[in-house]
Amino acid sequence: MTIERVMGATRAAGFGDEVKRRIILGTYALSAGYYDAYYGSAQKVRTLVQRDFDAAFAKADVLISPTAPTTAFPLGEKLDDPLAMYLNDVATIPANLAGVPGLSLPGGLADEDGLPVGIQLLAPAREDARLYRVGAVLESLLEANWGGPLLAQAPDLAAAAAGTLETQEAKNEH
Amino acid sequence: MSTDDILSFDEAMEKYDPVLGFEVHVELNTKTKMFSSAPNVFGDEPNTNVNEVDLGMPGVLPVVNKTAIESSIKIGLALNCKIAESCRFARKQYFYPDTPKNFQTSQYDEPIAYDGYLDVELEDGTVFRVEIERAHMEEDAGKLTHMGGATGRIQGADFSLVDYNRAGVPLVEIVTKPIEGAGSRAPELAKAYVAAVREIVKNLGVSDAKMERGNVRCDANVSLRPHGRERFGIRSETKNVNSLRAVEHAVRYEIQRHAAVLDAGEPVIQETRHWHEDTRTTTSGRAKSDADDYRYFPEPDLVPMVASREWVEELRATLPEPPAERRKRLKADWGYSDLEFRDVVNAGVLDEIEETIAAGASASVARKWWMGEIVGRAKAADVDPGPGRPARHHR
Repeated sequence: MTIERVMGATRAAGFGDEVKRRIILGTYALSAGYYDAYYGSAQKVRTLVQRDFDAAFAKADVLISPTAPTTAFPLGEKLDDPLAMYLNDVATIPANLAGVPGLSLPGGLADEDGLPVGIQLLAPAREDARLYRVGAVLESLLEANWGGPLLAQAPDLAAAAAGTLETQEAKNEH
Repeated sequence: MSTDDILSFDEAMEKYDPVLGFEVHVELNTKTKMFSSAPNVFGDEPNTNVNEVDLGMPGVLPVVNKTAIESSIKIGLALNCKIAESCRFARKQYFYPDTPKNFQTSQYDEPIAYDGYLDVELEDGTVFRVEIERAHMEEDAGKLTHMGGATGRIQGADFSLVDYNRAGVPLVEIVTKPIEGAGSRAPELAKAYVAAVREIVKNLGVSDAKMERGNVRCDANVSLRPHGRERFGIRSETKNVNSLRAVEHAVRYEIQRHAAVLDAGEPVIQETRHWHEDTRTTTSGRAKSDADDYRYFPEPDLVPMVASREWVEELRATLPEPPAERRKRLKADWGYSDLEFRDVVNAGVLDEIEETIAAGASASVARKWWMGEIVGRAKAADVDPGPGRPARHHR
């Protein structure tokens, strides 16, 4: 019994697949001979992203976008396709790279499937207060339209669960 | 455990030219750790001076200890280094139980201090300039204690205990450039260099500098090359060199061991070796970390440290008189001959004589008292005459 075996066993059992995936990616990107090609280059690209945001904030107080490119996909649907899952972060990752604050609030329900849609606000670094001010105004206008918080329009959970079970059973029969 | 062959030192020096290199780690005496507010204290109950940052709990963030930066800059200045205008920390990644974060926050290609030198005076007055490659900041690891084996080392142990009190303590690592031209004085120079570094950091007040406590640790690198060849030989690194005497003996032993290997027509293995004070030999540890890929990258949780030139000059103004300068001044003031003064320094009673003179004695009476009476008695009792404060009783 060596410390390496203990550590290896603990990490294999304790980390989920996605965490393991990212550890392997990170290890690869930093390994000898690859730093410049991957991590080094990525740092340079990040500087370009930061400059992009600086230029945008010279012309705007806040940036606004959907929080995700699609509505929520069913549980487990994209487990076998990590890249498709990563693509769902495409709207929120830039804030992390640029080091700017972001805020997400409910925007309404999508026409096609009735699932909630988020609106993302971004502000320059350290202007977090601006996000709260703009977000508060937007939220009160939207809620005035809806007659209350969006959550009040959520379907009955018990009924929804029963509905899903039926669909799963139907799927399993195929 | 078979013993390695060694050549006699004289024979080794006849045939080969030693090149040395040292990595000296200095533990800083800051109140708290390098990146956390946990106390930096020696000797407390294990795992009582730790917090979540030291233990690498998920989500913790480091905060740099400003005093540690000041101490590091002072060390760089005392070693005649350039101080970086801006530098960053880096993660050195590896798995070992004494490293709870699974990386050490250190500095890689942006050390805080670089390109310096230290003029080291040997016992006979010869001065040797050791070039300093860099001094950088990092944090210490926890302390492992191996239980159940015969030697206290990991080999043969039943289990190991780990104390994280030391994890996160600020360290400054001082790295020399390859030291050439020492010839047969290499072991002597090794000891004198480490002693000089120890003296400097103690004098600066940035470290307790007790080697027996690990406040100052030395890794000694040795390689040999045939006389006249430019290319360096393969080097070995020796660890567990815990005293000045061990530095001298370990360097000497490695020179003799390398010489025997080369004489037998074999190549020296690039490896880390472990010094054994009891047998006065080194044994093979692990193959040197060419195999380890530390995957260094700039520490993303810390901003770059900017050391303005004004701040550096402010710190420079606070530096005390360097020990070597002080010795020159005292020798001139006291009017001792070269030999008289060297004897006083080697006996370790310089401070005592200074205090005796301050209490009213003349320089020559003070010297006669200490060197005549006290050093003789100390020799008879087999103790150090110096840092035992007998001066208090004899004023």
